[in-house]
Amino acid sequence: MRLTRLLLEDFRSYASAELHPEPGLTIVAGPNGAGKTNLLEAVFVAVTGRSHRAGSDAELVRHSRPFARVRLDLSDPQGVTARVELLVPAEDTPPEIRKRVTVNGLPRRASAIGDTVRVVLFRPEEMLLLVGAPSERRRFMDAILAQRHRAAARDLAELSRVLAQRNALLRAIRREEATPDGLSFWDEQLAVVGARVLAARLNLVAELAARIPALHDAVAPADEQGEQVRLSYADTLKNAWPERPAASGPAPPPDELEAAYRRRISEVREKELWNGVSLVGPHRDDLRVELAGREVATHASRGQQRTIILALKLAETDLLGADDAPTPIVLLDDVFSELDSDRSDRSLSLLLERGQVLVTMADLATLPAGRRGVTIWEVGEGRLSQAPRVA
Amino acid sequence: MSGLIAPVARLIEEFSKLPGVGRKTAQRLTYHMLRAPADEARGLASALVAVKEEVAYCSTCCNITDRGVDPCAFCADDRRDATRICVVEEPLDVLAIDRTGEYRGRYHVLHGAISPIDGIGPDQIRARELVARVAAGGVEEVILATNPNLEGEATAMYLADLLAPHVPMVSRIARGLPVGGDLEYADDVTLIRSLQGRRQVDLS
Ligand SMILES: [Zn+2]
Repeated sequence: MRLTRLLLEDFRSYASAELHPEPGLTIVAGPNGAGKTNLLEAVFVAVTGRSHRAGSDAELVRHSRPFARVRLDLSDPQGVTARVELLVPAEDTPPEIRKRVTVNGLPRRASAIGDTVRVVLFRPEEMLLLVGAPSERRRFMDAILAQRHRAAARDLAELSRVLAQRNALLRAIRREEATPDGLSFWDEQLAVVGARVLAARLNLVAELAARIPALHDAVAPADEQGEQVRLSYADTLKNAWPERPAASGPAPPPDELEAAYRRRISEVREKELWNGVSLVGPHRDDLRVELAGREVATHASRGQQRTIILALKLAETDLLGADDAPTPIVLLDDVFSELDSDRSDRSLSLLLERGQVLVTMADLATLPAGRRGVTIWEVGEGRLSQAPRVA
Repeated sequence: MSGLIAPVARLIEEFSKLPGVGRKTAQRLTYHMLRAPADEARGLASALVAVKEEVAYCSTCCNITDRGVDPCAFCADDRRDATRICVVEEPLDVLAIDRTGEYRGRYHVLHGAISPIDGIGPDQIRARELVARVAAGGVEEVILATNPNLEGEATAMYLADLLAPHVPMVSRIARGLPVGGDLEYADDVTLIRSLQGRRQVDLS
């Protein structure tokens, strides 16, 4: 599905705005803070059900307005059209106005929107994906899982609920306000839901790993060609999972992982009671990336790291569009300013081969050479230009 | 609340303590009460006081009851099967189950579910009262009808452990497909749960 029209009403800084993206590349230009990212955020929220940067939904609503509305008009090459509409109430809106998303006028669960439209968001912060905290890499994996599989989205939500409850109980036990016998239920939930999330991530990493070498070489400059990039999943199970294969591969049956979690959870019992926090589970795991056998975070150059990150985002795009799923809309939030023009141009070409790309940029000079003649929408002071101009 | 006279500010303050009521809604309600006839305000005030002063808890099942009526109407009703106890989280759940007419046993109301985030552990719900009641004997079955979410499950598991030594059967209400629904629209968890809870076809 590609986006033919984006319509905003009282969303963030916009009273109203309308954008007609091109089938291929669309540029949104404007100074920092003008509201470019808000446009990408609107598309992202309408598709995934939540913002990548708002603390609460109410933040998405323009000041003193009752609700925000985002509408996506979509069509595919066969001429099938769809309309996705998201309504987000403000903090103090009467309870009759509830957050809801509709597809062609019919209410849908946010997790079901992935059947109609998908989206890849490339944030500038992701340029630090390989050197940043493990939480960034877990977020990268989980965003793909949540959009691809409804069951995974629910498992991730349930896992965070289980962990929140379990951590609250561990803290209460440490303060001697509760007894450890209440833990067994939450231990079991963590083992069962944790095993499902772990299995989903292991399968994802296997799929990413299979795609990375070719994508890496497609993005890499001549002197980086053929470098060995290896992805692996780092779990927290230690010796409690003796069946773990030497190299990362597809997930084993769930009971094997559940049993491993049960063993590991009981091993760390004392330590958890002391720390008052869950020490074992998918929330402590990491995606490990090696280049020519060495950790990229410490041994790869900035350029090499960026090549790998671009390959990961291309792999994300391919995986989200695999298995008859709708081809994702790619949203690039001012990422070219972080890349040399060679890598920019090659990765943009690769993304455009796959589908529709929306790019924000503060400085039009960062537009890769050879892209002159594209249409540019300008943003300033919470307003979007009425019509694009041709650069 | 600068610029507001004290009684108005105070009412806004009180309304905004209610669950789901934000500042703006509290203001709207306050100005509504200002415009309303005095009778309406007195009616609301006396209803609020009455709910605290005239409502008590049944010493047997912990459900709400009229002050002075203990045991409650459910517990006092001899036609109800006293060997079965259905355990629910809230008083409204009693009404929902009873409305079906399918169940004619007794009830026990926990007034909550175990939720460490909210500081609610076994001691903050009416679990001890239930165990004492069952341990006193005469009960054949306890039906755990807490909500089918994480907190309801945690509560059910906890109670099942405690009750097992005292009663021949502890059961959990089934989770499954909504009646009149279509299989293809059911979400995966509901489908999985209803497969797990399948039964032999009754040919009689
Ligand atoms: Zn009673």
